[in-house]
Amino acid sequence: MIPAEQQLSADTEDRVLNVWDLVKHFALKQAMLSFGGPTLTVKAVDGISFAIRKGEIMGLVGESGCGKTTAGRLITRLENPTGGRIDFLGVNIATIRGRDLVAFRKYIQMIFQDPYESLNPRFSVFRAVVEPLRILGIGETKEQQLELVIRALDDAGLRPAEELIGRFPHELSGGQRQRVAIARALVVSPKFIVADEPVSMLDVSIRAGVMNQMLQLRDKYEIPFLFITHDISVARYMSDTIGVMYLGKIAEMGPSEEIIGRPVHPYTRALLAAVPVPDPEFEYPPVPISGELPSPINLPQGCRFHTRCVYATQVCREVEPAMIMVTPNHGALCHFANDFYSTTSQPAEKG
Amino acid sequence: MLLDIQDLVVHYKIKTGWVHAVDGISLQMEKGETLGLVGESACGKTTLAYGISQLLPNNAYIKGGRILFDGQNLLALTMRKDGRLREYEPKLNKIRWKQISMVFQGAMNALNPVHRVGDQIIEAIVYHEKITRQEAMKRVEHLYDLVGVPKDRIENYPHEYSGGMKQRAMIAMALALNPKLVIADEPTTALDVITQNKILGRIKELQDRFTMAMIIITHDVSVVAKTAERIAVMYAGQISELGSTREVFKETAHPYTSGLLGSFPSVKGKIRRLTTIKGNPPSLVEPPTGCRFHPRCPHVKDVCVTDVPPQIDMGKGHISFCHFAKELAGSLSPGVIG
Repeated sequence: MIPAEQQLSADTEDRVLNVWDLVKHFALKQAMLSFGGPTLTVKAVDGISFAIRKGEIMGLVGESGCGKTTAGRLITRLENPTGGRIDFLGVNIATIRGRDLVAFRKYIQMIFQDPYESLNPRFSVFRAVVEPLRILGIGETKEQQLELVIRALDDAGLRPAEELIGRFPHELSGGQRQRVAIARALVVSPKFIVADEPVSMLDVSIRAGVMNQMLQLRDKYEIPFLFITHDISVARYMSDTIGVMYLGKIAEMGPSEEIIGRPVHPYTRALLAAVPVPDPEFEYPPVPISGELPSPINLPQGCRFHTRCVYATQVCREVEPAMIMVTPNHGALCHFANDFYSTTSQPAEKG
Repeated sequence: MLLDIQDLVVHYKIKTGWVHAVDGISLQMEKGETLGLVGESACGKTTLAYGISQLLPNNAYIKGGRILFDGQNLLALTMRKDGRLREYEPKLNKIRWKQISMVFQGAMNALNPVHRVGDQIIEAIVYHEKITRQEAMKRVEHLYDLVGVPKDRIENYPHEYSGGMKQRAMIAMALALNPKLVIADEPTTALDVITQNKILGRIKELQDRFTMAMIIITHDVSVVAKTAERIAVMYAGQISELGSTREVFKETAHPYTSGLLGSFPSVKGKIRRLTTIKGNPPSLVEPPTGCRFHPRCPHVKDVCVTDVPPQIDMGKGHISFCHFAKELAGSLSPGVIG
């Protein structure tokens, strides 16, 4: 991941996805009485930029309503962006339509949160996984398609694939269902996968297996992932880089271990201080945050985090901060990013 | 002793047979103590909680065991001859909510959408205590202070609350009558970590102040690590390990606990590869023979398939239901964090 500010000059060769100032505003339906009044908009995604390289997993974290799911749906073009660019392998896919859009679906696939909802209960495993091949016209003969399906199931860890292929979703466990969803994404040999909370519905003992499977796939095929999650512990385990979203903006982004070990943005710091740790002897620091999440319809002036920030000053209330880079690949949307960076210790030895 | 559960068995009757949701559980709790009840979905943890608060549905049959609360045999009050609970038992009103209250899973659905939140709490108070609505209102204001919701929100309807505020209102309602035991079923699962942290902190404060005992039911071992003094790990309707949170995390004595702890990522310490538990949770209609964890256990031996494991005492009140607890102890703690 390379911050937008540096993208123009930096080498772009191995970048699969470049997102530039991506915006999605939803217009709210007007209540009858306020007819003729100003249109209210929810600024779900309000100008985010990032890039993902070949074989890289970027974690997008944030609390519910921060816009992370919308960001994923924009990149897969399940939603139309209000503004900005999505350069995918050199082509801007933000505005493509019709046949081009269908052809593009082959390259970016999505894995959804709920494997109980995302699979058609009347489709067998084979039918669910072969469907994308039929729609996109991949595989010339039935035998070829069968071969691709079996390989995808095997890659997703559904073994023996030949035996599971005739089963229906109700005959599968939650973990197996999510693996079918992974196989369905894999079968078209995508160049990019967006996974939206793929493990949060799964049972604890199943979760780790599905996460390890995705890491294995990344290693084997070098498929880059955008991994969307509310759980920063999961994001750390899965990702090379992390973007922390707050009210439609990426508040901080950088290499995972930097974000975890040397967070700069006060929001990231609060998030990390609040995460429970599976260690009964861990001493928790105080969480530096106040108040509640403001409404995304009425965003605060200036820095959108200032209403909850314990370090906020006059400038934060008035001026919206730009991304400040504290290292070449670690940046934060905070006026005082450099001060915070220099006052935190090195991430070297944690524990 | 506040709560003494002895060999409780609760089965659900379904078309295809019996679901062995709680299958011989014994558990004791002292006044003011926090117990974490951990396990995966459908391991019986919610059934156990509903059994304690006498809220089991109509197809649940209590097949054996006793629940003593503060010395009183609860099942003697409510159980019918066939093992089901009476739907309405006036004698229970002195206990339910007044002495044992619950914070339900999913506060979003637990509040009545057509009544003001404050009125719902006041209703609970005036039903159980002989005080006026004005006095009850005073108490609600005080409770809102305690759980950290602004007082001007008392008059609002549930849809005007955020998720975190609804959950805090539910906690206020659970505390309204100063109960001796609060059962919290996944109280923070639907909330983001910052709100979760605030609520867990608030619960702890209130508990210390009012010597309230609490059972926190969750699938998240880090929430238990943070809040509970003791932990009971449940698997397939039974307790597999029980002990102080420190002992269970650091001196793990059951392979299932080990697998559970090993599959949790953390933001602290070095990244370690997460371990997985093979297979899937078993059906509770036909639970596995012998040790119920044997089909998934990496240390399985012949005896595990045939014999139900005995209770093995690991010292300091730490017990394990694994044939090889003593032999495996020392090699089972993946939860050791750098």
